[in-house]
Amino acid sequence: MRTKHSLAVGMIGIFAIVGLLGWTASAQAPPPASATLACDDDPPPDTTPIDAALLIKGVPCAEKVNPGSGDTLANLQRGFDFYSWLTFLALNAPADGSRIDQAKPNTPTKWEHPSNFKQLLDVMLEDGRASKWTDKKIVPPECLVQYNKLKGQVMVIEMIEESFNEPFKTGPLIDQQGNYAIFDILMNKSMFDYIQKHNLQSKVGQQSKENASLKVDFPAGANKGQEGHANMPPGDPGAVMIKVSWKVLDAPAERQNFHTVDALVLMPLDPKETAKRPCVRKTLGLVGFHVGHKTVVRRQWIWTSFEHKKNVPEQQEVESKQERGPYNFYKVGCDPTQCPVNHTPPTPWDPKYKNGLKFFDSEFRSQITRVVPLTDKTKDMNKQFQDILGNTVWKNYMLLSTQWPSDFNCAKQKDASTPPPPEPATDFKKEPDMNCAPAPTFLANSTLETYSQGTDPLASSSCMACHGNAVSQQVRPPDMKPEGFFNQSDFTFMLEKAQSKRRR
Amino acid sequence: MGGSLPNKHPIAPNAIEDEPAGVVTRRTVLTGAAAVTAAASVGTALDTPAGAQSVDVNSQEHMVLFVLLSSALTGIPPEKLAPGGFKLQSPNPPAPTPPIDLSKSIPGFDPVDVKREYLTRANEKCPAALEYLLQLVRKNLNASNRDEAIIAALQFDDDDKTKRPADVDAQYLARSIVLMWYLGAWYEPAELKALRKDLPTDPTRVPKFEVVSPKAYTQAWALRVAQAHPMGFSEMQFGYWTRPPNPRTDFI
Amino acid sequence: MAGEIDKILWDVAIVGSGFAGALIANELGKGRRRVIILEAGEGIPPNINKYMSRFYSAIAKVPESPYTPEIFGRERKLIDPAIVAAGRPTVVSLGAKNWRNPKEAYLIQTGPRPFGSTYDRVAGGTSHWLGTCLRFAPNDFKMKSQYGQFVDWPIEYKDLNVWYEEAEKELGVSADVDEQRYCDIEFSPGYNYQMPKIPNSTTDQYVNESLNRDPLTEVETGFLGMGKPVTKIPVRGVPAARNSAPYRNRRACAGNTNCIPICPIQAKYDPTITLNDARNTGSVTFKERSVAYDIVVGANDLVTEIKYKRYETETGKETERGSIKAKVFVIAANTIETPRLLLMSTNGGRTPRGVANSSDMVGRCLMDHPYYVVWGLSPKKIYPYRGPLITSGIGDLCDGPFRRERAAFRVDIGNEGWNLSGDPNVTTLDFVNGLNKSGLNAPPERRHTPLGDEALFGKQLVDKLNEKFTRQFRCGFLIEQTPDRDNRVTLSSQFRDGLGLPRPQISYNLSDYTRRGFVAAHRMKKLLFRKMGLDDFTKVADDDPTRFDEEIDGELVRLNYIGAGHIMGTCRMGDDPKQSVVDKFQRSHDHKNLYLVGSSTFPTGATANPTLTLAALSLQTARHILDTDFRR
Repeated sequence: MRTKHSLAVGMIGIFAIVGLLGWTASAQAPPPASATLACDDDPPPDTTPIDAALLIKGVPCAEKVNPGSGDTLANLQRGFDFYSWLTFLALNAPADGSRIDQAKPNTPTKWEHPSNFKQLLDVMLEDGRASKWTDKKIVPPECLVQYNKLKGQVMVIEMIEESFNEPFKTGPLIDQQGNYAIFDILMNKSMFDYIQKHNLQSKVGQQSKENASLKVDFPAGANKGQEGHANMPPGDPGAVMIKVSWKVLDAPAERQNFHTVDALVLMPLDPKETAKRPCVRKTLGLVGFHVGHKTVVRRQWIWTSFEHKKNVPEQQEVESKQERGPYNFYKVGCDPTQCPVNHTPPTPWDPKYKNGLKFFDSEFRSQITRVVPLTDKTKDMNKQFQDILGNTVWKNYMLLSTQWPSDFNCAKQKDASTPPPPEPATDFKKEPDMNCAPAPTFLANSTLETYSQGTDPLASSSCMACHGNAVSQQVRPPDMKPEGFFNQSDFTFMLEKAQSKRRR
Repeated sequence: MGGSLPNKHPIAPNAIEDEPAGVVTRRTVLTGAAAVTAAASVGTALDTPAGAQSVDVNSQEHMVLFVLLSSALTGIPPEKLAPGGFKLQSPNPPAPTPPIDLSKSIPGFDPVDVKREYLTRANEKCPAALEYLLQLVRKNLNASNRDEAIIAALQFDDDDKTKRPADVDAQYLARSIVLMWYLGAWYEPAELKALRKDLPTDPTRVPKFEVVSPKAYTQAWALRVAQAHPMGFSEMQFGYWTRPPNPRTDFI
Repeated sequence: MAGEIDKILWDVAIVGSGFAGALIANELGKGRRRVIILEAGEGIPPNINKYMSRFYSAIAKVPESPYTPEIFGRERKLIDPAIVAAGRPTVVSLGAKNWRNPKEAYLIQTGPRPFGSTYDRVAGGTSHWLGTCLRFAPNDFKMKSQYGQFVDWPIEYKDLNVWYEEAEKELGVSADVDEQRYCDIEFSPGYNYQMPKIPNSTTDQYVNESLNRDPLTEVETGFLGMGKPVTKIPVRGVPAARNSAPYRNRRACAGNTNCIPICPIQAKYDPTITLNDARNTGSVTFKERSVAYDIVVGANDLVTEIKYKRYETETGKETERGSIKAKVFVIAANTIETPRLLLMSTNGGRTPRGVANSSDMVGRCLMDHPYYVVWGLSPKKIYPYRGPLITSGIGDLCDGPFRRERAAFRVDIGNEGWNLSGDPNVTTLDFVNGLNKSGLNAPPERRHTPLGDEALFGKQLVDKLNEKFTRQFRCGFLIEQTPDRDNRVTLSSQFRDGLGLPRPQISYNLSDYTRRGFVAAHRMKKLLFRKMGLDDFTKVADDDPTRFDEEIDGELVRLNYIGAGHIMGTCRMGDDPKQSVVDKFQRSHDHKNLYLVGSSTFPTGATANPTLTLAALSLQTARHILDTDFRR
């Protein structure tokens, strides 16, 4: 008999694995190995062992959390970090159902499969038209010839400003070969269905009178046996969104250390150009991986961030001269006067057609360090998980941290005289803290929030503090009272990207 | 969150968070008990009434006392000053009834942890007066009117001749502690005392203070108590200002 | 390194990277002109982390507090401006004891009254702005022909309408166009602001309900001199460059209540945004810590070069010098630093009164909006300290026949309680330490005694502070200032800055016309306070250097003012070169390749915040430069 000992709230993540395994059309999950997990033992060990059985067992036991003894926060953090690793492994597991600890660098992953995730621009279409999950990928005409030659076995990335310029136009990131880092955003079917159902895929739709009173509330995942979110079957993972960062890998030798994809990259539109937009074929290597996952017990979402372990040194390593290169975005031994640290590149930032993905200043390289180091506990957990990933590229990835809402009671109103908050309880009227005390307070990925790292309140990167400010394009009609209008977009900036006009 | 989940399993998923001590396998109870025994030996030492113990900012017990002190003085519940599971424990669970066992009490573990900055500051600046105050809490730990008793001991006039210098120092440190919680700023107890002396003759005298840290400024209570937020630090949503605020109980 | 930029013959050289400088640079950059910007202050950092931590740690949260150069040195003393390379005035050097102390105050003020406004020398110099984007009213441009006062502008509202639209688009303004039609302000058919208006605050709602619950009577409003019965005084939303929806990759406002001095999430537009866009065109080069000090005029009265000095540390000395050559020059250094630069440039005696100054008007007609602030405690909770600093105001009183006799005013409704006078610190300290600085810790008859009645702990303290803070109210009156020749910026003959350049010297006064505007504002205040049932806590200190007393309705009233930060007038525009410095495109009458931009060119100040109007004029000037100076 399996005893579920203590369940981290990130238990939902476990079902993300199951859910995804189940969805993949072509996936045939191998018959479960007969391996038993140590957590089945009685008495069970103190913590959940991290061993290869985790990778194939359908529903592994969750990390023991044990908040009652010692540092509750650190214990819960460990639980969430464990959940983040399982999520990372579930999403990056091979789409064909084979084992991740036997995957090749370019083995396509579950999240890259169109039946599991769609890119943002495939949802927010020109003219804001609706679409179906099963619609085929719309390939930009500039890429069509190459796409057909490759029989569609290629990732297509159509670049916009956010594909090379970090959030709020804070700047691009240039690697040691002088190439732009490229960013992409994807959503799963739960998010897609919600957007289509409420006509949020277009600006006009968001601004419609019907949507004026909508309180955007993406579906939240729940365990089987937990009370699900409205209209969601328990066991459904709920809304999952991903943001990835890629490095251009021109040299074949580099490709052994990264998860790679074959990609067609369409350059961002330059209105000053008369030439056709170049669509360049590139091998891209994964360097950054954000996941946002909404669950019933964490309605402010759970925020996971991974990086390639050789992206950048920690600031403290540099100060104590302990950095060990080579790094993707840092040159060891370069003097700060030549390589100013964490500075944005020289302007202009926009890529030029004639340069492809190379930065205009061919000498410039971003010199980036990690300002806030990983905790020792995270480093330990990283090592343990990397050890079960065999000789695959996946052992080159590490968890930075998981940001999660730590104030468990923040959604409740305690004054009996006022009615309970309207469904959803996500973040609509919560005061004073709609983010529910994010733990840790700050979190930044060196490739995705490069220039806003730090620990200065509000200014420095924090997934939830920033995403908490996201609003939709909803409009209050004149006959609706201002106090009844809510335009929070449930911690995602995706709805901003809905269009009404042609992009080209 | 916790209340809405059905308790279908003997070990309910939500139980962990609602009751931090609720890990229920036999093994962990044993482990927990061991921790109690270990801490108890330290705890008994602190109970000596001699009182001249220096304050250890890393001691969970001292932190619990500091939180109780701060809560009494500021009027803000301890779970708000020390979020993340602040709990007073008595030897016989489930209900905390006197006598309180400090060694088992939990100071709360929250990501911001501004209480540590305040305890550290008070200890650096006025260690003797701080000890006095923590001892005051300890003396009233199990009183049914603990907060009132603490306040009563610290409210007296400047010219009250029955009070010794140590009492006066404690009174002014108490005020400095309140101001730290309310404003994120450190006003020296001596400065507070001097202001009362100087202002009648020099009404333009400007108080000297310093901000404890950017973090402390953003955790200040003065405007939360007014159902708003520190200026420059809002964790609320667009348009909230067009509605009256949530009830005061959401803030404190 | 100075050498590199000196070797190029630039199309346009711009001094100053604030609103005007950045907007013009961006337009010229988009038009593929080679532009160099010389900025006296620091460069723009990649993020606002340091600004925010500096702000959070500041003991005086004045508009300058997040920015460099540092205000305070060791032991909390103000740094002597004589050693600061590119200094600026700050609010903390405007007290009774130091506004005329050159060791603490950057501006050398000769009086008779203090000039109360300040500016920055980084991040646009006015990154600390509130965000208000009011258009001027049509009659604001025609004070002479309409009301026999001052001068007319050489342009009219309808000339500027299209440029207002362009400026609003560039900044991204949230407002409801229907609500902004008053005092004859009109919009192009079908025009809409970029984003829906920012919702009003609970404080605004109370003001409006109180003021307009019953129709106002002639007895109550006759003093306004509007020329027609005033039965209603609308409280309208203030258009603001503050996102209420996603716009140009910026977040929507989250009500941090901190617009001045800095928005922590950049929901409020600031000029660094346009500056970054300008630099991204690939045609604009930016040089920080480069202080222009001499404009060289050559043959045909054309400007040939601008000399500059550089420095490495805020209180360091000059490190190098250079000189920029360009075909066209734009001075966008703000209303005090621009005339300072012009006056310093004597060209070895060929321009003894300074450059562009044949009219002798450079530096004259310095204007502000003297800002009259009043304080009250409301009978019911109005929940201030929430939302942007200002969301609504009263604009309908900004124009009318009364302008023949007295200055007009607009009313700002503050959402920040008594923050301007130091709260929440002052009142909290009062009730914890038994003081009475706020006046709240004693009954009305002892409101001004320094020691208070109560020193509280615990629930009593919570209840008391809640009860007080939730009822605090303040509003401000922006009053039109007369353009007076003797209100002027000159060069100090005695005091210099860290680079050895003469500091600006200010003489400043309020005219009778403006003081009569104060009188009307005071009457408006009384009406408002009576309607709202406010307990009046307005207090003017005996030694307030801005204090003046007026007899109003039978009582002697103490009035005072602070600076609104709206500095205007020192390079006024006009058609007549003998009476003005620049023409309607802001081109100098004297030097055909020199433009002077910003609110220094305003001939009159009206009552609206100048930023949107100066932005509109800047965009017009940029178009003019592209079309006339660089015709293909």
